[in-house]
Amino acid sequence: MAFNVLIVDDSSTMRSVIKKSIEMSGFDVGRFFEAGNGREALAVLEKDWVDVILSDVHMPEMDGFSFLKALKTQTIVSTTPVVIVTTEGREERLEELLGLGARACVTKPFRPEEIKKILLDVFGMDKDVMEDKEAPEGADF
Amino acid sequence: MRDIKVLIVDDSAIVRKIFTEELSREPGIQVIATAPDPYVARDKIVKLNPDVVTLDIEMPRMDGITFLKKLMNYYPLPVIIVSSLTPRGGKLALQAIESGAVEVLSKPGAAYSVGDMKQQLADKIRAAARARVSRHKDEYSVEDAPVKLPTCALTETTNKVIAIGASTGGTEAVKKVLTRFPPTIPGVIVVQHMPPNFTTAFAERLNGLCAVEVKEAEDGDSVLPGRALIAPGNYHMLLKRSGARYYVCVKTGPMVCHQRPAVDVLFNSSAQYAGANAIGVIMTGMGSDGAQGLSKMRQAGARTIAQDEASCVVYGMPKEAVKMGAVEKVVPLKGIAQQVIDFL
Repeated sequence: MAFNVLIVDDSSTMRSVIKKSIEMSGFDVGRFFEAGNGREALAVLEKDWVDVILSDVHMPEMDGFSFLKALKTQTIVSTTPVVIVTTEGREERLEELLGLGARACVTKPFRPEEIKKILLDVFGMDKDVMEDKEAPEGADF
Repeated sequence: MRDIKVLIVDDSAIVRKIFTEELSREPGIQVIATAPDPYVARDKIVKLNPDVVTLDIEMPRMDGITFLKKLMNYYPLPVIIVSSLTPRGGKLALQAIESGAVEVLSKPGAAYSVGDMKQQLADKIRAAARARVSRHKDEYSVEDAPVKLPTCALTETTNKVIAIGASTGGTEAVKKVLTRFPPTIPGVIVVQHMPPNFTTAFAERLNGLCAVEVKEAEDGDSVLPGRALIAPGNYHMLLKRSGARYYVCVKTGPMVCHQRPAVDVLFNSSAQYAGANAIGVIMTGMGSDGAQGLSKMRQAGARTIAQDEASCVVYGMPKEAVKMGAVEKVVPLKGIAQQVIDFL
C-alpha cells in the first residue's frame, strides 16, 4: 500500500527535510505533493487524492489556522488527517490547532521517529502490519 | 465489444478468490486485479484503469464511505458496493449509494445462494459498466424541494395508485421522485431491485426525507394516500383490491427477469387490479424488467411514464418499455414527480 502525502510549508528546505524524514521512516509513499501555504494546499487537494497532510502553521497568505478551518468546509477532504509541524511552542496555540481538527502536533526540530510514530497512529497501524504487508492468501477470512 | 475490466476490493481473501473464480467463467468480464485495502485499490485504479470496481464497504481500519467519496471525486467510475445483510450493512450501503456508488450486492450466504449471487454479481457488473458516473457532487440542491400543488387537485383521487419500478441508479432516482410528492399524493407502490435489509434501510431513510410516509411493505398493507410502500428485497409485491380498498400482497415465488422483487410482477398486478386508475413509472436500470408489465398497464388504460435517457444512470428498462410502445410520456428525472401529478 502506498500513501499520498501533502507537505505544506513556506520553506522549501523544510519541505524536503519533512519529506526525507517520511522516507526514512519506511513508509511506502505513493506520491509527494508540496504546497507553500494553505491556499496552495487546497488547490492540490482539489486535484489530487491525498491521504495525510503535514502542515506548518506560520505561512504567508493562508496560515495553518485558516487552512484547518477551510479544510473543514470541504466535504470530500475534510476527513483527511492533518499533522501540524511547527516551531510554535505555546501550549494554548497547539491546543487551539488540535481543537480545529489537527490530528497531532510535532514541534520543530523533530526526530524522524516522531513522524513515524504519528503516521502509524494516523493510519491506525501497528508495526507488525507495516512489516507484514503481504499477508498470506486465505489467512484473513 | 472488449471485456469489462473489474477490480475487486475486499479485505477477505476468500471473497476475492470466490469473486475472481466465479467471474472468470462469465463471458465479457475480466477480473484484472484485486486489492485487500483502499490504498492498494487506489494504486491499482490509477495504474490499471478498471471499468468497474466492487467495494466491500465494511473493512477494518478504514472508513469505506470516505474512501468511496474520494474515489468518486478524484477518479469517478462505477462502483458496486458489496455489503453484509445486516441492518448496519444496509445503512452503510445506502450511504454509499448517496455517495455515488451505482449498485449494491449482498455478500454470499444468508438469503441468497451462491448460485443467485454469481448471476447477480455478473448482471450488476454489466449494468455498472454501462452506468454513467460523474464527479460526485453533494445532494440536496434547492430543486429537490417537494413539488407544490393545490391540495384541492388531489381530493378526487383516492382511488388512484402510482406504481414505480427501478433498478441500477434507482435508489437515488426514487428518492428524487418521492421527496417531491406532497403528503396528499395517492398511494405509491415501489419496486427497487435491492437485496433484503437494504430495502429496510432504504425505506427508513426515505421516510426521514419525504413528506409522505415511506414504509417497507408487509403482506396485507393498505395502499393509502400519503403513503409509499417499498417492496422488500427477495419478495415480490403485488397490488390487490378488496372492495374499495387497495392493498399489497408480499410473497415469494420464482424470480422474474432475474429479479425478486420484479417490476413486471408489480405492474402486471397493477394493470389487473387498478386498470385505468393506475399511473406506471419506469425508471433507470439495466435489463427489461417492467417493460412488459408497463405495456399491460397501458393497455388497461393506465397513464405511463418513462425516465429519459439523459437522466438515467443506465438506460435499459425505460428503453425496452419505450420500444414496446408501453410509454405515454418520456420525462427527465426532475420532471417525473410533476408529470405524475399532472396525470392525476
